[in-house]
Amino acid sequence: MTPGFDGTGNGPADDATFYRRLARHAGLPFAVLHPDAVDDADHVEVNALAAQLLTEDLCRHFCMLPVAYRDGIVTVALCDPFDRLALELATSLMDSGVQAIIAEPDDIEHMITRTFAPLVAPHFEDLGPAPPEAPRLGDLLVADGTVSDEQIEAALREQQRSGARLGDALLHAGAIGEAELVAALAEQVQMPVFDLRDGQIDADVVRLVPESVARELHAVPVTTTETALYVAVTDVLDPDEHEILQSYSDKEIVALLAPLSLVEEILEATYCEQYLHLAVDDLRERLPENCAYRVVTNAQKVFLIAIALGAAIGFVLAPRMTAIVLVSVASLFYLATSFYKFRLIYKALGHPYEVETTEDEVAALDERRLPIYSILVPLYKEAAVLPALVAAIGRLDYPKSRLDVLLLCEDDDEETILAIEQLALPPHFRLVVVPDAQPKTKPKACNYGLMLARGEVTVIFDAEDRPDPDQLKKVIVAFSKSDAAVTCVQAKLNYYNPEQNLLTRWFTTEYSMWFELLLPGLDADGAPIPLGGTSNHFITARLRELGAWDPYNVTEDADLGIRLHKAGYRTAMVDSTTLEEANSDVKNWIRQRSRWIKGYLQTYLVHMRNPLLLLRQSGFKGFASFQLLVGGTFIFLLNPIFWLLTTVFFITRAGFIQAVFPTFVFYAAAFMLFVGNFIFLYLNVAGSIQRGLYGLAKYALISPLYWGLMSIAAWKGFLQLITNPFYWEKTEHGLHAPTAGGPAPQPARGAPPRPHPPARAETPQGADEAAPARDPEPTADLAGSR
Amino acid sequence: MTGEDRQRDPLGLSSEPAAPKHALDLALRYGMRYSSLREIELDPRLLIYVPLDVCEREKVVPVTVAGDVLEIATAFPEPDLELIQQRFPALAIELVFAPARRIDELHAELREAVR
Repeated sequence: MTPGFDGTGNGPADDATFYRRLARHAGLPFAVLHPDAVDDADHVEVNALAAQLLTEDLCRHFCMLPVAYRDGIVTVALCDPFDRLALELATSLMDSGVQAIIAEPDDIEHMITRTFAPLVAPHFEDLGPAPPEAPRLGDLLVADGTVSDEQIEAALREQQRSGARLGDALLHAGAIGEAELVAALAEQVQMPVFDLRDGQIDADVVRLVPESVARELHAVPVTTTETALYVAVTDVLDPDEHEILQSYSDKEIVALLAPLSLVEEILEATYCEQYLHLAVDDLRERLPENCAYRVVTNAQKVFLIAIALGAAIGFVLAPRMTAIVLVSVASLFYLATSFYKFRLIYKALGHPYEVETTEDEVAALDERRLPIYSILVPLYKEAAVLPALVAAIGRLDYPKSRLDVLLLCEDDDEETILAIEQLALPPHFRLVVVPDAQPKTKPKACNYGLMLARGEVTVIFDAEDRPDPDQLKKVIVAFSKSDAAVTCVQAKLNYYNPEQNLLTRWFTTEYSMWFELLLPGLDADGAPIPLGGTSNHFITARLRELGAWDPYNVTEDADLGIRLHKAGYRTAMVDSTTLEEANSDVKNWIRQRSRWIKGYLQTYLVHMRNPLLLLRQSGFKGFASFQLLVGGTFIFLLNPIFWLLTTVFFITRAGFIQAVFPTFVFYAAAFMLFVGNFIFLYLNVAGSIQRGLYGLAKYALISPLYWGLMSIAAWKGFLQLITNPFYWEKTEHGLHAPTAGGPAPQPARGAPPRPHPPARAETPQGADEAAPARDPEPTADLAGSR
Repeated sequence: MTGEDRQRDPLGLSSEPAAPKHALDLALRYGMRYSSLREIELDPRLLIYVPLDVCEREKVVPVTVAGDVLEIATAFPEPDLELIQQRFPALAIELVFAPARRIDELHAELREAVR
């Protein structure tokens, strides 16, 4: 028989009794939350992070409080364990399973007050690193069998060396996946996990926090309620970060743990249009005077037309005189260019052009303090080179947890995208699909990638590049030793297939002279250095500030080198080499070279829009250098004309030719013909020898034939500048038969070249599967020659 | 009202409205206890055991819990309390008949209390 049910005089049970009994009846645990009751058998410690999974309002309204988070289940203390509305809200808001435990309402209220009471940061004091008694991440992962003890040990060693967090070390070693890391981290720090099960992310919510802040903090708002803003984060927010996020919303910020890739995906999906717009038009809109979008300005048009008209009128009125003037100007230009190059080379010979980086300095780098390094690799229909690329990046001596490799693919390049996805690359690789838009150029892809880059330092490599493994560290040393104006560090480029055929031998001698003699000279002279399209390492923030690459310029790298210099920044060189594939097919070579020359002409025209400004910004030396080196491109257009004149003169002794070469012009021209060409030949030989490419020296002797090819390319590029200025002549890669795994990077300067298997030019294996690709963008030696 | 009802009048409930009599009838018929629920002070916490919507649907009201027994007042025989038994497997339920109108009043009070 029951005790009296009413009017028995027994008042209602006190809360403690009532709720304990309720728990017993419901078969649920009962909890005492108050920290003072730590000795109570039912005491449950409230985890401060878990407690903030729900907003204060919600907690108070439903008298509930999340107290722990484990294995994707949030334990929620509440007084009514069957309050369906409360449970549904909690489940959906925390995006986790909910396990109810029962506690007294007063106890819950008290803990809600403790959790939320201070309106400012203080409650974050207990947020820092997981409390000592919290399980260690490694233990958690070992406990659930995700990783082995050996993997943990290896990761701990890596952690000690590079300062990477254990989870990251495991992740980059491939021991765990991102999802596992996030799950373990969530358990460790007692945070709920955000995932896309519901698939709905409101772009308007994402935009509540500005993109730059979200990217910096790796935190994106994903959903919102009346009182809370839920933010997907990759790590526990520190109080400062929390405060920053809080400044964008009046609502309570509730953090949910998410994989970095997911956070980045959300950002990209939300902002891809803006990224694309910036990639294409940032420079054009912000610094139009530096953008090649307009080939010639109106003033330039007037100037050029005036010159053309003047020449035409001159030819009508005084043909001989006009011809003499033109030939004189051209000859002086030749002479000046040649002397300038002599000067550069003379300077280079006495100048240690690289920032000296010793092995000791590289070894002494504290990996724990290395910056994040972004590597941009633009790809177009280059699926075949991916394994070699991944291997080359894998050989780089840099902590993987500090690498951020962006593989930039075009939207329509399904083959490469698919190939990348199938490779299931380690987490420091990212596939970035650049949305389809004109102009479809490498600089546009790079700009797009730059917007997503995490690194403090950013480098561009081409797909078939083989950078020296120590390159990144050498660059870090170089940056740390150089003066503050150094914004770009250019590594040396060389070819891994010089012996493939005559063309690749010439190409290699040309590169040797450019990188061993001319660039060091420019460096010594403090002149602008036209960058090579690959292996230039930038301070990311400054690159962004400059407007990055000009998507309308087909030698965007050379142009950027000039813009860096105009902005007062410097480019330094470092003694580390990246090996590329030399173009081995004449037609292909002409296409590539015509683009380079077109780009140089574009660059010249852009920066000569306001010659006085250029003079002021670059100084006299820089200005002169620009005229002679970039402007020197015009020499390739002039060369065929002079060759023709010379040949015709020798054959016919035509008097009119003699007539346009008055004595002083003749001496200048003859000097160039006999001495100048000899010296350039000699320098090509010297460049090869300087690089230790002794076998190539004899081929350098017949370079004049190569100069002929250059002029063909120059005219092609020049005409295209008029007809189709932004068209990107694609260069085919993979014409060189790859050795197994690709040739290893070559030791640095001075070492003998790595022997290559003799490849027959006429049977380039791999040519069949070779796909057109945007080629690397090395600046050519545009050395003047007659 | 049936003749049988009138025969029960000696219990002194003739002045009561029809409902309680009905409840009393039921109590007698089913051999269960009856309460007028007159002096009861309801404990809103008991709604955790029997949510208000169940109360209203089944015309019941939780009266008290003592030990492991929950007493529920009901206006009709055999209310559907399956849910409560599921939720509280360690709980015994005892029914007591009560006038439907009083139960309605109590529902209104409870609704007020939990608002």
